[in-house]
Amino acid sequence: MDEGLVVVKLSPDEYTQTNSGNKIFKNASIFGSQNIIIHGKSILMRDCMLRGDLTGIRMGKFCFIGERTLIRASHRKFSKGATMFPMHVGDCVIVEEDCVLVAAQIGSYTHIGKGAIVGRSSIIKECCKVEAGAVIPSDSTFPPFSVIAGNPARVVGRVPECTQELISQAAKELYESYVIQR
Amino acid sequence: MAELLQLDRILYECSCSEWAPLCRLFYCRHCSILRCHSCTANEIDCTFCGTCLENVAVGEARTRKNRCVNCYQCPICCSTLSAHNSGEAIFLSCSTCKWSTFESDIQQQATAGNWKILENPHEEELSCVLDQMKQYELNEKAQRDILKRRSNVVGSRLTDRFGLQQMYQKRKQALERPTWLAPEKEPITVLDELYDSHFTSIVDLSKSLSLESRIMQPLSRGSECRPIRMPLKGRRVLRCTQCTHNLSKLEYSPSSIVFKIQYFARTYVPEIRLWQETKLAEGGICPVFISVVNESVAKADVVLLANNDDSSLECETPVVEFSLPPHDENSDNLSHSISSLTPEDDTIILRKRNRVGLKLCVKVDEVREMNILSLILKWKNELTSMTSDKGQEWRETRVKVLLGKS
Amino acid sequence: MDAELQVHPRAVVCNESIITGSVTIGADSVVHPKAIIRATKGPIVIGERNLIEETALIENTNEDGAPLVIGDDNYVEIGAVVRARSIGSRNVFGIQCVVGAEVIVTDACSIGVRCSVLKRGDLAPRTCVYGEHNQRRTAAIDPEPPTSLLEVLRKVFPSYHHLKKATVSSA
Repeated sequence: MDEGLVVVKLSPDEYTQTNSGNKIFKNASIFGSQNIIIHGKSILMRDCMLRGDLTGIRMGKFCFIGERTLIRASHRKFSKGATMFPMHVGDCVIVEEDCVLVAAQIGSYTHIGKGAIVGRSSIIKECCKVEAGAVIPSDSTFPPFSVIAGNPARVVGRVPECTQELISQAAKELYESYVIQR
Repeated sequence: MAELLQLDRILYECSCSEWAPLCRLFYCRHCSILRCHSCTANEIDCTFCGTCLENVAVGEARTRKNRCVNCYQCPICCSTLSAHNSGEAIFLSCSTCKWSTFESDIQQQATAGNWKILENPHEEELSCVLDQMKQYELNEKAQRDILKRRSNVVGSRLTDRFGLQQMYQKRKQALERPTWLAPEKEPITVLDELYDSHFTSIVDLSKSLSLESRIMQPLSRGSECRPIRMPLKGRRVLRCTQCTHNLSKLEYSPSSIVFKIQYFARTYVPEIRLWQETKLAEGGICPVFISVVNESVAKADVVLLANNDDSSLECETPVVEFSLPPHDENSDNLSHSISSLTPEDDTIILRKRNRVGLKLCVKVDEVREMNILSLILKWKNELTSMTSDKGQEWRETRVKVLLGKS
Repeated sequence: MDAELQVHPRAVVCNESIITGSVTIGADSVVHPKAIIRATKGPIVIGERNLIEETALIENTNEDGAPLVIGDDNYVEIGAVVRARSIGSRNVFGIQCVVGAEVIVTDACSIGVRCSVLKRGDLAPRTCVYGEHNQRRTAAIDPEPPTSLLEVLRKVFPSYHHLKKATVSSA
């Protein structure tokens, strides 16, 4: 679909825009916001939850986090005990509704489908596509350009080579198409 | 949002008559035609492990049977195994099905990598036979070479000053038929008995491996399981079959997404997208809203005409001609960019930066599972050829739009 | 409602968790914000060193009003829905799993991500439910208890959340 021509109106009672251009649902559960760095022009939709209280979360530009999605950092167990690792989300990452992301790293230009669960400490490299309903086991790593599906998730295909430009455009168009009415 | 990036609804015809969405096509500027995966030559330029993303040289990969030494898969559910400490030793366990190396014969070891793999009991015999066959091959090759060379008799008279005597001896040896050194197998005369209990005994399926596990580990004989080494992955380089120029090549590192060479069709061909979901009602004329986007850095002149085939919907819109300005990175930031909402005519109803919105009228006469709208796309763009004068020629391709049920 | 909630002095229970009914939380346990514990049909007794993550739901749906007794060292992950009859120790309930009513979870079981256990009766010790089709197998070792993670959380939570006050309890 051509998001560049569609406009979705957001009510100013529910959504607010920050100085760096982030459009955030006012009642989103954001814990520990001092540890959350969003580089700008991102959209956090209704009822999403970001747990910055456990450890830091860094998101790039033009990210889109769908409704009711939960983002929290993961931990890794060492012989001396557990440590919480900060979570890195790249630029232009499109996350659809109802996802649970406990990953260590989600690369830029990734598209995560509805209801996907990304396991603890997993690493998803750039330009990947996670199909709807995929369940990614903990500690797994996926190379760039993979299509990930299934429970437990495996690489089932390759995304087109021009994914970086496709998703980068789609993310920018998505950001522009959501307009907070004045 | 739900229909984000529905890439498979619009198909372009490649020069080899295959239909593919534009994002999966490439454009060869030297030949000035579209190419798809079927009409390009694939080469593997990099072998790497998908889990540790470490580059493995092709030769090393071959000796390791295309497996990574450090990363392991669970034999039950194929997820990645993670290493854990238990006191001094290290064991591997799966986070999905909780299989651990305690269930295999090697329970723990000192290092995280280099777990022993199951061995083929016939390995030694097979390699012996293989060596033997290689000797036969050399022998047969030497016999064929006799016809090419002159007589060998001369060599016996020469002195060994130039090492010719050695060469002669070697050649003479190669001509001898080698003896069979590998072990010989005796045919079996006594077979195992087949008892009724083989058919009537109850099998506990929960203890036996699934079919998928058995296929992944053929040497396991259904019960022993060891961690399976992760198979390596290969990365492709695409090359045009006609002019042998590279169409797509990534940088060296396995985790890189930067292209050294990229000739994606999107940057040379105007992209047609569905603007809104079309509802086709039987009997009557329905509007179909599409948009045409110019992703290249040069201006494009576009002509769109209907191609009324037997199998496609009849499109009543006449020929549409328009020109699209180039794609400009900087203008992305203007959310209030100039977009004219007043329709220029019945067909072009919206113009915004490098895209136009079009309304096409199609006539739906019967109920069909999949309605297809066929169009012919002609475009002129100075980037479509390496030489600037040829770039002013019109290029043409057919486009299929899959509209769904009526 | 809160008057029926009994929290051990060493437990860390966030104010933003949604706890209704008679619930007892044992020593060293941690309850994340937005976790839901509902003692609908009867009381819930949670033992020591349990970790209950956000959006997890623990509900007592025992028809006879018997208390739902949860042992020690259990790890209830994000979005899990647990309505079992009783729960032993050292179990792991994966993300968005479903445990139905009248299921008796014993010890060291591991219920995978998005799996469901609905059949009434015992779940044998060290049972592991995994995969799309709820396949089962028996593991050789216990799953790892969340002890080290609990330590980290007990240190971090007081700086970011208001906690429910401890009640002096004899349990």
